[in-house]
Amino acid sequence: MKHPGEHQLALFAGGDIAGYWERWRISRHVSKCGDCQSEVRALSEASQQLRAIAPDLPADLNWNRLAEEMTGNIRVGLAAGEAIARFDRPVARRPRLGWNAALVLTCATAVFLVAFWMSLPQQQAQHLMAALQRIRVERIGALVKPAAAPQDEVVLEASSSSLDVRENDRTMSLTHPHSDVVTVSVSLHGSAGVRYVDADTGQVTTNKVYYAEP
Amino acid sequence: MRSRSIIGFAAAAGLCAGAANAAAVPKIDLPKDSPVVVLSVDPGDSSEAARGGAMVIDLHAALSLRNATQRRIHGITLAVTAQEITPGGKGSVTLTSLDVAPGETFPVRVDMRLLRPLQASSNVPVEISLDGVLFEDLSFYGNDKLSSRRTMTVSEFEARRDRKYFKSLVAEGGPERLRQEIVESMARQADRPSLDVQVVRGGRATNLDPEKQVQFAFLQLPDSPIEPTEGVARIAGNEVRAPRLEVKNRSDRAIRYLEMGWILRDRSGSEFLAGSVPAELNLAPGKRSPILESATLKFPQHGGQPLAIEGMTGFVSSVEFSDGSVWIPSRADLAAGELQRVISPSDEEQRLFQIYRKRGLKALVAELNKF
Amino acid sequence: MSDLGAPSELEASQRAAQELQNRFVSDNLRRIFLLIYRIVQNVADAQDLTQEAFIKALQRQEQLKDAEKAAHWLSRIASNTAIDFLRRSGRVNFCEIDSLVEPLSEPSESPEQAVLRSEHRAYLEEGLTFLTERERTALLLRDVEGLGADEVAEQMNCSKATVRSHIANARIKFRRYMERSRRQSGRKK
Repeated sequence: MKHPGEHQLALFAGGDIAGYWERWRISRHVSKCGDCQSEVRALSEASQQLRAIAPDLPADLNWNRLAEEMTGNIRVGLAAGEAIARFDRPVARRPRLGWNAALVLTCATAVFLVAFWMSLPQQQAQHLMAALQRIRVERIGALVKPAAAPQDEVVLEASSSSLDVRENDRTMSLTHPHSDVVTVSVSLHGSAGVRYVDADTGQVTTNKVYYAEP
Repeated sequence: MRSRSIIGFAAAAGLCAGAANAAAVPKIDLPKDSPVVVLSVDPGDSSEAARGGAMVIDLHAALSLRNATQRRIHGITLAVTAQEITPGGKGSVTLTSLDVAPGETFPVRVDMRLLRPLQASSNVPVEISLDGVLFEDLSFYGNDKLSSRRTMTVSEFEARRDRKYFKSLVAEGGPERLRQEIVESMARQADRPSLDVQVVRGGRATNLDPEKQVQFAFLQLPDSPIEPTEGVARIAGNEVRAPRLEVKNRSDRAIRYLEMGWILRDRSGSEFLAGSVPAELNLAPGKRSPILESATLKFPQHGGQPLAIEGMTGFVSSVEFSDGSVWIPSRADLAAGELQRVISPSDEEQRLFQIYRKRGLKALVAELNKF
Repeated sequence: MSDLGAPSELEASQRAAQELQNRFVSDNLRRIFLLIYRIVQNVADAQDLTQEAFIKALQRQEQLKDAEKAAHWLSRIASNTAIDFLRRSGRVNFCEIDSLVEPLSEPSESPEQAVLRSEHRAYLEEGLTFLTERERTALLLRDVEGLGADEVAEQMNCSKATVRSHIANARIKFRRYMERSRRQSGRKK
């Protein structure tokens, strides 16, 4: 029996599994698997205990005095803010899209997307669907540690001739310049790197490719 | 908030690109107070083509940058992003062992292949941004999203360590002593077995060989602020899964990051550096912490045969304290633990080898005397 | 011109507004302070940030009319203020994912030993210190404040996927912390 990964169970325990089918699948498994049930129960209990102490103050804190101080400072801060505001000039607001314009734009985008989708060959549409399901917007450079992917796995491979990224049955080779001085490295956090020395300039360059969450 | 100036070389460079597609011409985005300025971008024969459900962007760009500060630059990392959706969509280029004087120009090549989904617009250029610049005084500029500060600082410490070592050899036994060391080191590098390694994240084990739990041995580095105390991983054939280590902080300072190198031994006794296990932690002096990884390392083959893993050895390859300072193994540690046989030379040592190869011993000694 | 013996309409309105403000502060001060404190883990910083959050909120008097909505809106301001503080101080990049490292060593006491509520609280709070700042922030906003994952993502200015990773990591680590404590108390017996 294939168990959900611990990240999935942790998300499931808090009702944070994103997709309907994934949620259903995990729910079905958990209902039949004692181990996973215990795990989910333990995770929920931990969160409950945390919620229970939420109203408690830190030790050795004189709350009454602190509250009085904060209340006083808030009043002073507000008064100071009002005094400053009297000297402020109004700031020109950036023009915002009006509601009508936004609505038109949204509809146009929707129409475009449908037309685009319907015009795609089936294989491309499937790839697109898979990609859309995996779409996450990340800030650049975020090394993402993924939740355990149910079927898909992504592999970074470093060899002396190339860096490869493999996703299921597709392999993409990320080449590096030909050099006889190449060092490869991988990090378990999902990056593969190739270091080479430029034969002409002697400059040491390391190229890395990062794993991004599907 | 810092305002940004986007240098749109794309259009101008595109006109000169010749074979380069407009989409494969990178867009460089540097903040206004960036310590480097871009003088030119030559996209070369960068191109973009659809392959197997993804868009492959072949970048072969040459950048010319200038140090716009009053300090010498010793390292730079550029982030290169085609897309952040699919694996292989982002990369980085790091130059270390630099010594760029104020006002000096230096080249950066971006040679890599990145991926983006087919549905992404083909007119969106690849973005190159500055992750970090390390100066000679170890100060740093940049958003450091790729942890380049740490990487470049470790590299800088290694560079200083190695230059000091090589200079001491010259002081002891003259240039010939240095030549002997360089030749031995190059020979070790030539003999060092190369290994193809895959790091797999997500999914479950795919190798059906019987699995066994193997304890790590550890190389003891006496000066290391971190003491590895125990470690196990599950081995099945040519796969190593889910390493679990415990380390202790034996220094008097809090540690926020460490990297463990991981050496594998096969049935014939050959040893290979498999990869690194990085760990970000908040480890107070005297405290212990486990390090758990769910990734799997696979070794497709070695010398045409599948690798059969018999044992593993871990060693501390770098430590970052909470105050930002760094510890790395000394040359004595590397020699005593026979790590030199297994791990590659530092970036600086590699650069010095190249100087020796191309221009000889005198040029190497002259280079060392610059520092 | 007002009658000297009775308050003018303006004065009455100002007094009402003042009372609304006072009630808003007294009703929410402790909750907001605790939310911020658990994110930044420092009383002095939490005090400053709490004051800042209330000042920001009270400058928009029109938002205070519906008490429930105002409380919710204030929570958003508070967590944003704490998150911005951590970001500004360079302590954390909220969109980096941490490894699932168990940061510190054995907990100082077990749940069985923490008989008194104050001890139990201290024991659970110790568990929170084992999380990184981003994990702790995500966990507090999601599991304690009850914000949806989408809203947490918006507040932390990260993607939903990143925030889910933070939340999952945090729950796992916290659960492991409690399990370690139980095992430890079992060994001690």
